[in-house]
Amino acid sequence: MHTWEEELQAYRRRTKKSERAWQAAKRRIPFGVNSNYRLVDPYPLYIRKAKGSKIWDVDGNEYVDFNMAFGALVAGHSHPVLAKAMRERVSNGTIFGYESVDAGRLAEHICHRFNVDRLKFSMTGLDATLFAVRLARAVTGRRRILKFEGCYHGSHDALMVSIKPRKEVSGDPKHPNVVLSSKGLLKELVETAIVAPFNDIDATESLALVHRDDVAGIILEPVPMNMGYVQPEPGFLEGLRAVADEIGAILIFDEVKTCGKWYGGAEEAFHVTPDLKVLGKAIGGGFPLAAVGGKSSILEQVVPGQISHAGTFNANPLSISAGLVTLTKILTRPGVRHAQGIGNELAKGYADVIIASR
Amino acid sequence: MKVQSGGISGTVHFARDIVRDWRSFEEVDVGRWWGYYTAMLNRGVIPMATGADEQWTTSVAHTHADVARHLNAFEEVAESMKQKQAAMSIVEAI
Repeated sequence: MHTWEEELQAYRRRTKKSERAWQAAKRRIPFGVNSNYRLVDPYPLYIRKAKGSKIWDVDGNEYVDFNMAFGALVAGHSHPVLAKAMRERVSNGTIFGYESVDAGRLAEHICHRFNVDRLKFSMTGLDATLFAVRLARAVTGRRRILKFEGCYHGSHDALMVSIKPRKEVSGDPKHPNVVLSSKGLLKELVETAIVAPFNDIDATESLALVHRDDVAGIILEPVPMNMGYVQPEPGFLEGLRAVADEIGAILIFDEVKTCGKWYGGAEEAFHVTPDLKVLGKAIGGGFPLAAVGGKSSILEQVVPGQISHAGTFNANPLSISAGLVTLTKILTRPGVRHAQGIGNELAKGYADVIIASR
Repeated sequence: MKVQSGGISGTVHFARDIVRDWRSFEEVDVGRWWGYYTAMLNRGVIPMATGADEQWTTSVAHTHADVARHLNAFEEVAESMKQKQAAMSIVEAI
């Protein structure tokens, strides 16, 4: 019979080089990780290489990988088609400081596939959600953003509230307190945020109506993926669409994760169309790529000198090539259907094991 | 344990009831998740992204054999989990 202590000791025995790598990294990198989400007790794995569905740590242990870089690798590790294309791309320039023809081609594909009229490319989900919030405020002339308790939209200040609030400070479940999620944030952020309970449309509507003339946007992951996986209940997303329309707020779907879960993203699964969609992770096939897309009436207001959108690495040829190859040659409908079939098989297997182990 | 899934992702919540919002997520036993995660790693499977608040992702590269390897490990770990406890609280680590 294994105990957790035995599992811990087994982990330590088989990952000695990871522990050494972690100890060495900690000397210069606080906690030895460059995204706090990667930290886990007693220390994280340090990885040597990956291919397909497999990954190998620095001790040589092989794993079947179902992390897939926090959902960024729906194309798998180092897909041969992508690897070949990227070798060619690297040989012909990695960044120009100018636009490339492929950015327009990729935008065309994304607009059709994800049902948006126009888009702007960013690098990561973080800077794309930041831009989406700025855009919502700019086009409405309002201040407040309504987000949901327990939801995460990237590590930037405007949305760094009530991500994992402690019970002692989170307040009434129907009217949650706005809780800062990090030191270093201005207390004033509390005044520009509204925090609502996910899956409670009545509470959300009443919170939105209190500030109806000052709500610029409502942002959410259609399926919250920083509470594991939380299914939106029937009518919830439709209800949010109605609330946003009623008060004139921009409905933003943070699809940084969900855009890769279905061929056409969450709209394909839930049939609700937001005003803006934030795409990221999977669309780059393992390279940094994100986009904010939506209705022409909103995107056409991104006029230079009026609404700022900039970034040296935005739409760089590496990311654009990776996105184009990934979306048009790897994450095709059959490709996504295969991954979904495997996912369904895994979920059913979990349910069966849980029933059998009771 | 409760499973929620859709598309290519899903998760197992170590909780009595289905998680539908943050307040119900707070009932997740993070200690049990950590035990599950560590035990799965020891069996050659990274079962999901790092954290009780994460989920698994399948890809175009995954095979039925990969699923079988994952489920065989989970079957063994789920059986051994009946005997184990590990207290651990949810920590704000963003």
